[in-house]
Amino acid sequence: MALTGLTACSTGGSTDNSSGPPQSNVTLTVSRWSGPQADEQKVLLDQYTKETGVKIQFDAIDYAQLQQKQTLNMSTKTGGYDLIYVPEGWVGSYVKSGYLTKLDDMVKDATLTGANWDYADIQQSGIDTYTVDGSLYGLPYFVQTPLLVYDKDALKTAGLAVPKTWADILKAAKYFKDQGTGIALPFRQGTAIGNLMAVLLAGDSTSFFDKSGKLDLTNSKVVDTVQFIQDLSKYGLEGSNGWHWDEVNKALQFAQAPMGFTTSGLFSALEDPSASQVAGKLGYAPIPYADKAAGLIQSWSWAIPADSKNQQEAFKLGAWLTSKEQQKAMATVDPGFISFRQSLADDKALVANAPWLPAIKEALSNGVTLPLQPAATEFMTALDAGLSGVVTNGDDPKTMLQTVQASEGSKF
Amino acid sequence: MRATRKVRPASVVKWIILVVFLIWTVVPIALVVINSFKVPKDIFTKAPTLIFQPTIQNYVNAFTKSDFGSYFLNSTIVALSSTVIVILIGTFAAYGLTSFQLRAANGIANGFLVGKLVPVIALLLPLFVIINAIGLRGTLAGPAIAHVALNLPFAVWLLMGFIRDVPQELEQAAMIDGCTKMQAFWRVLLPVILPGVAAVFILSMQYSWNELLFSLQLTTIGTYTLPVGIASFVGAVSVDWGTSSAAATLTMAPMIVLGFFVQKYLAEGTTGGAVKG
Amino acid sequence: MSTTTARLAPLRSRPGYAKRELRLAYFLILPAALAIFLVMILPLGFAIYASFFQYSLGQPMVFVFFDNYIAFFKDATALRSLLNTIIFTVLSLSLCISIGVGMSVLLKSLSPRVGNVLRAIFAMPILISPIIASLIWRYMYDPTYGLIYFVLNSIGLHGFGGLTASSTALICIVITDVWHATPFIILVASAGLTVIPEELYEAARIDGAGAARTLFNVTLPLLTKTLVILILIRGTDAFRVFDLIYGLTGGGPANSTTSLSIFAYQQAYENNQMGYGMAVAVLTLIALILLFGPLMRNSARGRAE
Repeated sequence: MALTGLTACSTGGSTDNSSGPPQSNVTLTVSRWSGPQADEQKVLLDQYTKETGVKIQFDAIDYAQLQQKQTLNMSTKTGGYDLIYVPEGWVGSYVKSGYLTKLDDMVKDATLTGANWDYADIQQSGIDTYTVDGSLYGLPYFVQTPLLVYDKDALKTAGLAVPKTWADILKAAKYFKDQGTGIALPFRQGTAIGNLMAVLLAGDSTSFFDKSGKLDLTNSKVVDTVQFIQDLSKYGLEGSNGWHWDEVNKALQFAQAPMGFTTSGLFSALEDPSASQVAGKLGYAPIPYADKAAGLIQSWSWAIPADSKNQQEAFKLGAWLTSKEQQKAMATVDPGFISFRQSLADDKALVANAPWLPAIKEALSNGVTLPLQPAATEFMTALDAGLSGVVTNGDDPKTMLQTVQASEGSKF
Repeated sequence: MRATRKVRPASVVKWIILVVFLIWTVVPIALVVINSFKVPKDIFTKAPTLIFQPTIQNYVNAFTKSDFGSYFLNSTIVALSSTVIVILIGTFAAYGLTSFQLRAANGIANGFLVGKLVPVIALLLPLFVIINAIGLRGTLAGPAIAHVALNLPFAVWLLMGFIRDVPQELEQAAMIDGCTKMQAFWRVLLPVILPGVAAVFILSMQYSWNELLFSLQLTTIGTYTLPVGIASFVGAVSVDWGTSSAAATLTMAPMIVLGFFVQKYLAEGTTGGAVKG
Repeated sequence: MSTTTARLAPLRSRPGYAKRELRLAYFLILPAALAIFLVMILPLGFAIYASFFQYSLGQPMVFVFFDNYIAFFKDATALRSLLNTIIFTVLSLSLCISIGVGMSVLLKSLSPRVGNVLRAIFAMPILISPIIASLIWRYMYDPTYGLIYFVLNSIGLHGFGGLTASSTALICIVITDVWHATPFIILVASAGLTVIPEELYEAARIDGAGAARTLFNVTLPLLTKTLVILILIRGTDAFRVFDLIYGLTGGGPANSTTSLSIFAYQQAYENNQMGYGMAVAVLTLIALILLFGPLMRNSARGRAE
């Protein structure tokens, strides 16, 4: 009796202990880019530590150095990272280099995901994006797409309808250029201008490639698209040729531009009354199109490096971050955060704070991704430089496309 | 009692040049300092605003959104230790290369410089592998070693130039008085080349204090330095101008203060008497 | 002086003296040599090795002989980056050296007190990190909010292309680099000027030499050694320019500001063509040796006797 009593006592003691602050000697290192989203995420991760006892080193660095740091660590197998933030553009080459762990078994394991995780709720387009050779390598986290943002009053004063087609936007942009402003465009030599071209191609029912998957930049639709980019650039707000998405966003936020092309991930700042001079005054629409509205699926996911020593714990954290509750928490503090969770798409509380959701839905119903082949980065780098020449130097679109076709065509 | 001085046209031109250069130097720095006390709506105005409601919110952000205190400490450790080592082994090497009639001296000096000519982007991957292999990845020793090596060629070359201008009799005289060659170096030569040492000190400090690539890639979260912190604000995703300006001001200030202290040694060497020899 | 030399003779001829001295010399050089070997020469060896391979990080290396080097000379962007780099280096170096040496001579002519204060202020830009320098100048060059456009517009000059036009972007970066790096010249040249004995200036004054003649006959000749080092260091730094361009334009518009280092970085890390990136880096090194090698000759010749 005495013995049993003792045992019961000690069991009771340990139960008490585990219902207090949980203990764990696991430390996970998370790699991602810094910025407002990272600041918000840090708050959630502190909560995870409180719930599970798992310590998290949150390594948020400048986006420009992120891929370099991830690849240096994974190619040298330092085991420095347990959970990494990866966009669709990096997944192909990461998998080819053997850097990432397959997640297929883990997503089916309820002991890792938690009971109500609901894998089927994640949009198929997200799953497909992070599936390479039939295996899943990333848990889709959030998606963004470029949209047209405009000042509703400015359009009304000008007597213009919301631009839908190429002709509409050229007319509106010309009107504002004549008024001394113009449309704010992300036409710096960099990824934004190439992203925009991908959207415009999809809106013209074509792409960079022909049906057999060969690079095909010289067909007339592609040439027309680049010609349109050149025409539009003439009505760009001064400085547009040196801007990336965030500078366009800033021009809208401080009421310098009556309209502009920017990306939905940055929209929260536009509607924040404390930071924006135009909160509540803006309208959102798909990028104007030749054929039908289109969007670009630009997303980020959580992946686990093959050299991580805490893969299961890392997956638990990844599953927690992509759970409905945490995705909703992110979208609540950052309305520009669009999750892959279908159940959150019509969440009333979220929709109320995100006036851009209908436009995003329309754009992504015809969403494409950038080319994901291993040679795609080289091709896009060459194309971005060529497009920069078209908008700043007035280079002939057809000649530029032929040059890029000649140098990059053989790689596909 | 006022002495009427004849103003020479040459002197007027001189002062115009100096004032223009002063404005050119100071205005961009003043701009970032002023911006660090502004809220965004005052930063993004068409005409520069000089009258505004100052805020310290940007500084609060710099400290709360990042581990600024730890960055500051790490930067101080890396910059000071690497600079002290550069000066120590750099003056040794410069002395060894200039003062011993070594036949290989020319080749070694050129070898040092060729090292400096390698684009750093080529060094990164192999250096990362080496630092990881010897177990120093994630320690402050990683960037410190890189900074020592990257500063050495310049330091050695500059100091060689200074030592070469000092007649060898200076130490020989000391050696006749009973000094060893190294004692002569410490007691007689070093004070004479102090302006060069001061130049190496300040330039090596600033390089190490401001270097980003190795400070980010060879370290881990606990050993990040100030430029890593700055880059995380300035980053490509969305520039937070106010916080960036505040962090930039905090980062530049110590170097500028240090510059004020060190620069007098640059121009007030004790050489004058010694060189007469 | 002759007595000194005479008294030295027995010291030198003592047995074992030369050997011990040489050992000391090598001992003094060793730590620096080790550091440079570990951080630069060894990695350089790897870079040269990798440049002969088609090599993507994490994937098997395929030996391709000189293909990466041949590719460079067939690649329009690569050749453009070489041209940009040469233009940038020539402009930046000549402006930095002439302004920097000019300012240090002017500073020396002032009373020490005023000169010291001004020199400390003039030195400030070099103490600022390239990331911050490019942050400041991105703001300066902003067409909407920037001070440069504000000044140009207020004196009636419109249509300046700034960083967004291919014709002016590289010049704008040169201007930023001159702002950032001229203080380096001022600091080192000032240190160099202190070594010039005051008597030489007095002699020139007695001879009735004007300011210009003193500059060209006394100051510059005696500053030659410092100038050679400055040209070597600043020139080779300018030739490898990366941070400022990366922060200001990222190489655009239309590759008009892509330098060799930017191009090598893009190939090695953004396009994951490590082999090609290393080949570009090795070619940069070769170009630097060809351009600046002549200045390196006679570097370590003996000391003043």
